Amino acid sequence: MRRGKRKSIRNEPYQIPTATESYEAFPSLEKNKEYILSQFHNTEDIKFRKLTIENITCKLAYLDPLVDEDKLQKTIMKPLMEKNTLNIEDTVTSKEYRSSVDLNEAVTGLTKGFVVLFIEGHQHFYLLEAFSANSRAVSEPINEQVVRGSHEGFVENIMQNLQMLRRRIENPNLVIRFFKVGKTTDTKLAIIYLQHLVNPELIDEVEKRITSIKTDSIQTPGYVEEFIEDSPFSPFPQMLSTERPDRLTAHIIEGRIGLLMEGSPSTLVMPVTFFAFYQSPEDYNSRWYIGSILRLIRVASFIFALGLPSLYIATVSFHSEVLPAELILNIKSSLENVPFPPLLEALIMQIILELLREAAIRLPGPIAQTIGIVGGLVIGTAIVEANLVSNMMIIVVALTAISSFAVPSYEMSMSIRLLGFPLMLLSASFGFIGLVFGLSIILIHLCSLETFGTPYFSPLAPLRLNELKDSIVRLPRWLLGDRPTDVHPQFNKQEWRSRRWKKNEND
Amino acid sequence: MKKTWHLSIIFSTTLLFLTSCWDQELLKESKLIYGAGLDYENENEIRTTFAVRNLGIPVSQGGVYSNRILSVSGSSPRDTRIKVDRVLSKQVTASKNQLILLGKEIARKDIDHIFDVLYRDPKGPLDARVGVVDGRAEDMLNLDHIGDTLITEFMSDLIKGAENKTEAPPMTIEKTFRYSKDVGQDYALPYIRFNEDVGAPEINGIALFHQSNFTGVVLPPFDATLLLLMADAKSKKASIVENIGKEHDQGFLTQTVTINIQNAKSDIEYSFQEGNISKAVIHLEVRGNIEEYPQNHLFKESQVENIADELSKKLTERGNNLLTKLQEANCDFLGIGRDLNAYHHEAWHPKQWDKEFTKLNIEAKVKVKISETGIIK
Repeated sequence: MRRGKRKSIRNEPYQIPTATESYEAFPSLEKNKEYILSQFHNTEDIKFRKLTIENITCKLAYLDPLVDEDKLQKTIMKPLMEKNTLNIEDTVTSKEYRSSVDLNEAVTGLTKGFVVLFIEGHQHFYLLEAFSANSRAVSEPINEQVVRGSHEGFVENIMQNLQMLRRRIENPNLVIRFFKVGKTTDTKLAIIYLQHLVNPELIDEVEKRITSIKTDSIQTPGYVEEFIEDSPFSPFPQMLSTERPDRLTAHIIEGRIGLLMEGSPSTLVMPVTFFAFYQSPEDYNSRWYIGSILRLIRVASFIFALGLPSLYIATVSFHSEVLPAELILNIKSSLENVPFPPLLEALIMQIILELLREAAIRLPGPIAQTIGIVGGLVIGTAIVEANLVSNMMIIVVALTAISSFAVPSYEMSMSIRLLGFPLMLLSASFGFIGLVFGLSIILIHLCSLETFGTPYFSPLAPLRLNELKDSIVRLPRWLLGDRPTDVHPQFNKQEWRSRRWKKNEND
Repeated sequence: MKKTWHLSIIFSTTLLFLTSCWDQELLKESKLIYGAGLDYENENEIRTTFAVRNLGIPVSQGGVYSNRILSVSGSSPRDTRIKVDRVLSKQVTASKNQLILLGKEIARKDIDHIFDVLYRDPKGPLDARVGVVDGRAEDMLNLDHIGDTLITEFMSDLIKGAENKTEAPPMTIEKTFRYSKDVGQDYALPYIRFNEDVGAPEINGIALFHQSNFTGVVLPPFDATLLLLMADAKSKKASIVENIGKEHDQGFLTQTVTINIQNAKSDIEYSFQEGNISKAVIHLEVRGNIEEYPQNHLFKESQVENIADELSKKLTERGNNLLTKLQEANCDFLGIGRDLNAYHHEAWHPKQWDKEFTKLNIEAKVKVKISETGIIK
């Protein structure tokens, strides 16, 4: 059997006609209306409004839900009626204006919130912008809250999001490239980067991958992520998803590329390193040693969340002699009447925990609290009193869960918790040896992982001591003279002796 | 890539079925030995007393720890452990053993033979404390508890306490092994005696060992402290109480002075004759502060110096007596043989060291310095 080619032709997705072929407009109003209605399959939210200008009948067509009523009144209808002239270009105050004879362009325009103006007897028609830019108010993203710092979060409207970024980086070098992806949905994607800074090869690579997406629809950035990431089978997220403009800005300024999508407040950053998932914008807001300690705690939380249950299982099932004599009694006495092996105990607790977490997310706030109390307190106490799970295991699992939630990125926190399960199996079968092998495999994977041609585990592998200053710890900003080199920015310097005033003072 | 993923999935699912047929040793399936006592039974048998920890009800549910004391005789320590496993539920584990007590009688035999069981097992309790009991170890363990404290904890804490006060050398099973194989270095183990007045065991000095046998000589706690200071092995705290005689006596309880040693420095000076060692002088210099001197406030410097001089004299005397005892016991506690081997190798005759040591001229010179006399003047 020959492999390869045969499938690709058959699986070409169904083409939905968009503005691909042109269709010449009619001079007759009625015929144009008929054609547009037929293209929209007589949908009922399309509206036609008759106007008479210079005694000629005109017709405005628009999709009601997409059009801002205010704009329609003020920028199109009022000027047309008041001035009563067919010199449309000078009359209409709409911010975007186009004229065309291709009816299919009118159809696409309508789906994007344009108003189409047909004039009886003319083949030309006009596309006038009256897009309703309603979006929800800007609020702080609930899964990336900070104590100090910006409380701004992205919204579902891509233009407003781009506006936030433009406001933060007022620089002509900030470039935005739009892409249309999805045959049916025709979703707007945008990549944003600093032209003078970012590695040109990286832009090419990202553009190449985005343009090669051929799919029916894109509904969340997760779709894009899965289409363009390097290793789809890796348990680690290779793009950072954030809803915070300040976080995205910081990454853009390091020479990375941001990806925004219409209809989603979460944006993607690429390429990122492992440590980007452990950084929070807050780190730069507090004093540097506080920021450093918080980061160290987060890195410790990674190790806890990954290895604590397996370490405990390996210890109580194979190597109890490593426990100090005072501790072993406490652990042993809590284990004494538990009928299950430690692995099963841990699995029971982990599954209960995941269930609780999943249930609490789906429920509205006040009920979620009840679930927390019922789950955490009632089940926790009852399960120990019923001798199904030992006290120690509850402590271990609770610590693991808390550590995994300390990660500032939700995806990473889930990945780590899930990686804990194979480690638990290994340590329940082989003890410390299994655990060490499991951890080594994870480490090897981390070291070999690459995203968009940059090493994922940088600056630890390859080891760049100089860049550890802003990964595991955060040294004061004036010591971070160079950008991280993992993305190969076009120039490295990012700080030019800002504290030189100190020296001048003494002169 | 795909193949490795398939393989790893198959691998990890098969792992699930392998669990528990592996060499697991579940903590909850084990019985912990917390202390063991070894006694001489007859020419071919040993009696081992085990203190096994009971954990019926979890402590979180109001249970208390208790020991079960079992005594078994057999042809070797391993034999007794196998026998005790027969009378106990679950599997006996000695890896957390905290205490090994040796009866006086058995300590005079070769303890290497007794401890062999511990040295071969990789999970053996090499950090357990060892003590020699005046009488039988079995009787000591049968006390079960002293006050609220279980005997095993009580004993190991008793020994650790003595180590902190520089009254016993810090000896574990592992160290005992090392020293018993070393020709140029001997050791001592804490000597425990049942104090009838108090109704509890007490540390009654140190039992001197030569190679792997107890010599029968026991040094009282005070001499033990001085010996340890000479061996440069001061622990956290060391106090010396010395009777400084009639001329200081000015009333009730005024004959003594107590000094707390802050630091001690010991140096051994060797002299040689015709390629053989002829004399070893131990220079011990201790600095301490006066912890107790009831008769005077010690305003004057000269007075303090007088006390220091007198103390030096008394301690030198005690030191010399102590060294004689060491030589009688043939216990090279100070590691003179090892020093010779390392620094004066031409004078080192390992095969004759046993005889040479007893005949050696050893002298102690103790110098006391007093740095402080207390907070109120």
